[in-house]
Amino acid sequence: MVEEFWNIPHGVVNGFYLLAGATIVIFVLGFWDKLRLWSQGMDADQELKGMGPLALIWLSITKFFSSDCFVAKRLFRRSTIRGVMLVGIMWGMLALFLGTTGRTINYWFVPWLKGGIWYLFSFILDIAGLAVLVGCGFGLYRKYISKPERMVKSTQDGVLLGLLFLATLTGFLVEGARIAVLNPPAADLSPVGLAFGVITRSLLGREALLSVHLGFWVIHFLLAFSFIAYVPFSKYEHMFASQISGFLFEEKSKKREIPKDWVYQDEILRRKQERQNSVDVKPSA
Amino acid sequence: MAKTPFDFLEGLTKKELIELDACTRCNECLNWCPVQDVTDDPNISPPARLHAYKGYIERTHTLKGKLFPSKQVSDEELKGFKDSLWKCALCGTCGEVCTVGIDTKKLWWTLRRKFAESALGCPEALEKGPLANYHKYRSPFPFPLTNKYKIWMPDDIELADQAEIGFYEGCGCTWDAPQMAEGAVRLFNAAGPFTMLDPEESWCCGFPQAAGSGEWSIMAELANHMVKAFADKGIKRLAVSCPMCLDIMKYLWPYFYGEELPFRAMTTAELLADLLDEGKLKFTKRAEETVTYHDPCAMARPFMGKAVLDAPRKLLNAVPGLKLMNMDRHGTVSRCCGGSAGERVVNSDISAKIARELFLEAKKSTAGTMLTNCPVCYLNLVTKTHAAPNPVVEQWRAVEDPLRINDLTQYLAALL
Repeated sequence: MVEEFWNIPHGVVNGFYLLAGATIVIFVLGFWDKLRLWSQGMDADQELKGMGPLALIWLSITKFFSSDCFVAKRLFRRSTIRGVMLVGIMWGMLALFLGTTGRTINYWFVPWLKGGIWYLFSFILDIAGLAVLVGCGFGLYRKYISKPERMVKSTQDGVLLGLLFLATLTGFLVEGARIAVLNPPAADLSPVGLAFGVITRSLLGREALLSVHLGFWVIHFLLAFSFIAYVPFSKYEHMFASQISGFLFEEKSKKREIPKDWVYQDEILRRKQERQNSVDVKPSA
Repeated sequence: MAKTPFDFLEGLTKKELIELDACTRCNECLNWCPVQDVTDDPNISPPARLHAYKGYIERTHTLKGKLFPSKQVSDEELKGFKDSLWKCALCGTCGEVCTVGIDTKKLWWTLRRKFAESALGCPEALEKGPLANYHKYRSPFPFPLTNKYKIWMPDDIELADQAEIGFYEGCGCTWDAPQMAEGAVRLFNAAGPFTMLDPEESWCCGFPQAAGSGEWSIMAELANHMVKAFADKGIKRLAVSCPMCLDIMKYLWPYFYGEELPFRAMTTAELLADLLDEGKLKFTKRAEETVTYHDPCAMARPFMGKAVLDAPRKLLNAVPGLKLMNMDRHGTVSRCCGGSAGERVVNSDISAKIARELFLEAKKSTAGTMLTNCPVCYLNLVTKTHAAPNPVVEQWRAVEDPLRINDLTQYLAALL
């Protein structure tokens, strides 16, 4: 059975909820603003016709599960290793997001993380975290050490990858310290957390572990919240845009329409009308 | 049309706005971009362009821009962006290899249009050249249309007044690569009755103006004139000599005509391959050599529909004795010749260097002849003529090389 907020003082938990609320507000406002912007574009592609912000986010969610996005088909065509890393980050983040949601439901509403389910849950999130860590580590290695011959330099890219890498790493440090102190049953079902636990236990005593746990817990949520709040204002908004672009690229042979209120619309329709009128007035044989 | 102040959002479609946010800066496109091959300047690369334009929109139209106002988008920034936009040859390879499927080719077109419609305009060389010529001659070249066929039309070709099969020679073939037009009419003539527009009716397709200069305001008049002219000839299947003409016919003509075209437009190679299947075309002479085929950008990565890769190969495989081999980069990721969309006119040096890269790629294939089927490729590779004196080309020209370059239809016409 999971024990939520173990070793976390009440005041810190309150701060956590306050910041979580603020993060969600910033994320929603930023993302809504982006969706509003997208929906201001002209209607030319049938697939997006008449879509407002809600319809666009729904399309983005549904297309997340397309082969283009969910298994990064287009990236695999270019590079297997990068494909594996991206899928690792993407699936890992999805699992961690769903896991966090699941734990929130467990804590506030329905306690469902018990027995075998909890062990399986722990194992999946452990592996998901590892996938994100390795994926981000690979990204940072490629960006700053191996360095592709041609690359657009961007500080933002490094900041984003670094934030995600550190948020995941501190998550494992927290989990490791918890395992080191509590030595919970079936800890080996969190193999990465356990490895961190073994290392930290060999280096620190109980009191130090408790402090490390609390300290990294705070750093972990600050990093995670910073990342989430930054998403709609950074290139990571591609998380919502790229599945739509991938879907539309595959659909490019479909018919397109004259956008309403386009600067050329009146002339096009006038000429079309003139053409039809000239056919209409032709004398019948 | 009246020039407008620059509004970064206006005139962009939903799809284009989403695409601006979809780039992950994975940098894959930089490995394939022909302009990067010869400039090595990431600041004029597709991700840099997407990021810059997205930034302009964010600064002027979003919550972020309002909460954290930064300096206005300066004229200097816009001039730099415009320069980058016209350094692109619109080959579309970046979109083809894009790991998130951004249709960059259409996006660059749209952004060029926005500049052309604004007070910033298109590059002067295009405004004074192809665009001014169009307004005077209905062609990007400074010659009257009445002379259009005189240069190349063989005397023994008989054009039907009306026919189901039509051929559009385009301006590039006429003035820059007349061998292409001649080859095509010989092949169609061998396959049965076909027709063409009267020279003075055969206006430009609009590609040099719309794609090169970004000027779309001419398109409604142009598309209406051309579609009516082809329809009046009774054409049902139209072969288009230049794949860029076809690109614009499929992408913009239906827009500006207001409905689907009343005929099926396709590349010359596609219609000839159909005629081959129908048993109307046959190559009787043998060609004992190995050739390689360069897929022109607009056939490999068209705006609409599927890439045209099989038809030219089908024709070549029908020639007795001929061996066809592919270059390392062929099909949908074929190299660009560097000649399209104003590149030759605005950035002659870049254009020439890109052409040389393609030439070197073809040489690696060990084929004796490289064939292509696009007047711009032909011009950039065969005649190697560029608008301005160019040391790269001068060196290239000076080298005696065993690789021959020819147009597909001209080559095939000799094998009838």
